[in-house]
Amino acid sequence: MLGKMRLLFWLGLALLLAACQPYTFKGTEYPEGISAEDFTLTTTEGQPFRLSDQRGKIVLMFFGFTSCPDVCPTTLAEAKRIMEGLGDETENVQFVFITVDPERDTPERLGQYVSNFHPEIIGLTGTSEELQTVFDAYGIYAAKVALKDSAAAYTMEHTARVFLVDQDGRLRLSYAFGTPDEDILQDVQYLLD
Amino acid sequence: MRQWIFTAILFVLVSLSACGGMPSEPRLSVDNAWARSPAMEGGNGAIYFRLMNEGDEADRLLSVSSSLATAEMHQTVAKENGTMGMEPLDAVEVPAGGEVEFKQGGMHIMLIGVTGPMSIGDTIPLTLRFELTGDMQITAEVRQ
Repeated sequence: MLGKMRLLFWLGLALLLAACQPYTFKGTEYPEGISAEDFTLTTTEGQPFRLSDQRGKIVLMFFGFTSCPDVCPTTLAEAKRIMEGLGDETENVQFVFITVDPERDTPERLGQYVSNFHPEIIGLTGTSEELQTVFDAYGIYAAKVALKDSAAAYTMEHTARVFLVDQDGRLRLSYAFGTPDEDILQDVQYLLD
Repeated sequence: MRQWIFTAILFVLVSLSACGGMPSEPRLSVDNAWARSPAMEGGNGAIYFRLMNEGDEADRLLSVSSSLATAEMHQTVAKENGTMGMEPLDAVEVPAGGEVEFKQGGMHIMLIGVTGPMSIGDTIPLTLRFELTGDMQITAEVRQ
């Protein structure tokens, strides 16, 4: 009898402690309080898109280019699964794809590219200077690399992380290329709750 | 009688030596071939697959071709600080008794300027050219 009581006590304590465990984010955390650098770029419909106008929503940002056959479609396919996984909460999350190749990515091409994955994904472009300012603010490396003997002519080497800006406009998390979409979804759902 | 035994032994020996002397060769097969549909007409796509060699000799994939687009062998490479790049591959060795995988974020066949529709569920042909095996036709299922 006493043995059973003792077992129950320890079991209860273990459960309590487990419940107290703080949530551990799957992404790489930024020190809390860093406000995401504001910027204004242009959507593929020619409308201005200002980051600070998205307050109240979680913004997921990825930098890529439409000629990219592997890394960018892989990430956008993940974005699609994240949006689908959010269900009704999709309206509280905005995924943006910012071009690192404005030379080839016309607004039309960019629009076709992102909408192929999910209608709610916004493609953003701007002048080289406008884009460079955003790259600098988020530590994005983007460089043209010639591909010798390739029909692709050149490729863009670029930072392939997904950045998360929370509802209060704080840069909270980033994810390495290849992070499972379930991990990002879990973090987003935690922040939405 | 003796002569008969001698002939029989000779026959067995010749057969065995023929067996042992069989030239080694690669035996290639492809599994789980799929293509990422290009997001737009004239856009770029990628093909992924697993390439196995059950033979006892290595072979080398030298080039690829497709009737739908210019096809090239590329490899995505991770650089410093989360930067990703892409490099063309000259040839890919498939070791004897081994396998290589073309997968997302790794080696892939890049389709450049895909002409014509590529819808989800379609199968598209691809020709792989090997040093020893020669040409091998495969089909890849289009997925998103």
